[in-house]
Amino acid sequence: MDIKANVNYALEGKFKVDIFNKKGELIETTDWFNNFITPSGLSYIYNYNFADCFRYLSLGIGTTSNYGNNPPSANETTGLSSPITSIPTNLNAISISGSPGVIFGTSNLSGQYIGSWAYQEGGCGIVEDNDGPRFYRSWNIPFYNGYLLNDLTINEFMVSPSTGGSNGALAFSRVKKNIIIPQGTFSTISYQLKIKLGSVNIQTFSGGTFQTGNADITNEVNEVAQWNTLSGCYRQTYHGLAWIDSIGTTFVPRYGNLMEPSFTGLAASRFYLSPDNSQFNVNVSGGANSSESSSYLADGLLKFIVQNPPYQQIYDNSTSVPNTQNLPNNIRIKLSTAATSEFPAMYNSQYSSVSTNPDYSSLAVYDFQGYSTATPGSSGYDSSKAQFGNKILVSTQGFNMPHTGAVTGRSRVLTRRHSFLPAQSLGKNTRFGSLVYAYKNPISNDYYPMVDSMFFDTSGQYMMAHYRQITGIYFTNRGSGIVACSTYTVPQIDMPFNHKTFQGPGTGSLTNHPALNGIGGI
Amino acid sequence: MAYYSNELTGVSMLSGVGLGGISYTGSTGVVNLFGSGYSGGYGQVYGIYWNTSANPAFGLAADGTGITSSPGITGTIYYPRPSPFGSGISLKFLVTAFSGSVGGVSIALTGDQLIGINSGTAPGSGYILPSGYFIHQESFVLLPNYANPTSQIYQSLGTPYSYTPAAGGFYPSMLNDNIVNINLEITWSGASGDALNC
Repeated sequence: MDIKANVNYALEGKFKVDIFNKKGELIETTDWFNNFITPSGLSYIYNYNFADCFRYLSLGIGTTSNYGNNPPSANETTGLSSPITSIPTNLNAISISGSPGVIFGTSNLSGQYIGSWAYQEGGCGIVEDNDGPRFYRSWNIPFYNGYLLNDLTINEFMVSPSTGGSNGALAFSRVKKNIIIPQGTFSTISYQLKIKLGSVNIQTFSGGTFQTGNADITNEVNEVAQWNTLSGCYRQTYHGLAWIDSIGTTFVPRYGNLMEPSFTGLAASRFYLSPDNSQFNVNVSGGANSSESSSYLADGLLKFIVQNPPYQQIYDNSTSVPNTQNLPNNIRIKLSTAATSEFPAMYNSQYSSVSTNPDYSSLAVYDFQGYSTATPGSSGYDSSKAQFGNKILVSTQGFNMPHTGAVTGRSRVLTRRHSFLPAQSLGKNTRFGSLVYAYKNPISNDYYPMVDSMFFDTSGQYMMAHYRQITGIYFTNRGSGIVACSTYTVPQIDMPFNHKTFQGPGTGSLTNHPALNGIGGI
Repeated sequence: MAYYSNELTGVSMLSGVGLGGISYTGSTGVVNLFGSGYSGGYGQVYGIYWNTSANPAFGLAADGTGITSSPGITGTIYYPRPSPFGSGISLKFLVTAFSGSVGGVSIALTGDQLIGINSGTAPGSGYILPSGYFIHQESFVLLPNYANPTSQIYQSLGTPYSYTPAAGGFYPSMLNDNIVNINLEITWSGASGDALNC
């Protein structure tokens, strides 16, 4: 039985050139200009982190157009058509703060595969937007605090993940652009890669998403049918990609880089099913509702996390990621943060805590027995079957399926498979209301969620598992000729709502009666 | 939330049944709608009031010579999200127990009756159903899945399982005879835009 889930990324790369005089004063700049992510560049994602795809900058004077039929007919590659092999430079001649440093003399620097030695500190890093991260690297040209001895004409720019060999030396992206950097100056060439995530807003899936055609239904036809008709919603909750620090180094935070297609540490890649169906129902961060308006923001799923740590807290190769930078973890798993067992908390109220006593004085039917969690509901509890309790179920580790031949047009796809095996089954009495895809930190064993999804029960409705509270009635027409009325809901509900009121005046109508209007409208 | 007397004195239907008027005596709590101004007739007239500003509710006022006490319908009201029933919950109004004299014509209604049934005995301009909608806010009270959970909490408390008859939807369980595979597809693309052949 197969489930297919999907997340997608749109890649947008841009170059920018800033030119400075010997005093470090900006004398010319360009807008960000779009690049062309090559067919080989798209395929690099199978093997490289996004952040590693532009570790090296190469410059050229060629003017041929980019390769790439649209769509390409094969796994085409592209690169500079005429690389610049020599940039005459006066080395170590620039000091932004004042007098020049010791001049080492002239040197001819290569314009190909310019790497970390030319990174401009502070010109590299990551910025997280509401729809995905932007990665940056900047190179000083010429590097080593030099300035140009001659005008440098550039007609083509290229970035690549590597410098040579059979993989990585070709262009990740290339753009034709005529730029002349005058003699006596130096420049900063920046590259920006935006990863626009396609699933940061709530996505829904309907019945039929689970392919059950090959299932053995001899003994569990009803159980298989439940999966076949299951519907729900999901969201990518964090980008889950490797970061770039301020000096241009790619590194993996404690949350892992699970969402990189190149990620191979799949022992840390897990799905888990949870009985929880309410942790984010009244608060996008989980737990109690902090205000009336916060409840309206909640859609049942963990929000998409955006975090932009202060600049100085970016990883610097010598310290770990500061503790202040953290993601929500272990969602829908534990009874408490200190618990080691994997039983999700169950709430009857998200007001402040599990133990909060909500006002049930007017609730005749629902009481503390009514914890919100996934249950067998109307299908009934089977006392003849084993009872495993309200526990989560963790999948096997994932593996990336072969992607040979997956090149289609301007898109690439990687399929990662996880399984829930019969031996892991928690029986018929444990039910699941949510599914989380998470990075399991191998040291702390904490699960950092990347995709959060919630199931709808067999009613098929997207019912937020909390009540609304009636605080009044707004009359758009007060009626006429009626002395006394009762009001109730249609259909009738179990709650005791059958209240008396009067209506008037006797003739005409009174619309938007201010006495009722005063309690506010919807 | 207090009423304003000028809003209530305009309720002509009330005076039409022989009540001598409406007095407004309070600004908070139960409002005496029919105090000393009562002058005759008999009937059952309902008022509407706030019991507290923080916990508004609609209530039933008493009949007779004065309305001074709470009708006892207080508190807040909870209802499930109405989405399965359409865009909202509609209101129905019933004429409630009432007897009175309007323009010399006696009216006697007992119990909750649909308005249309008795409209012939009522005076005035005829009947027009009121219309409106509920005002609501998001509650912190969670909606259960209509059954007790299969909970380790109950185990720890030593409480035996007591699975009450279920009435609502249900969620899936894992399977004993089948593998469930989850295929996560990660797709990416780069639009060529105007950079392809530039």
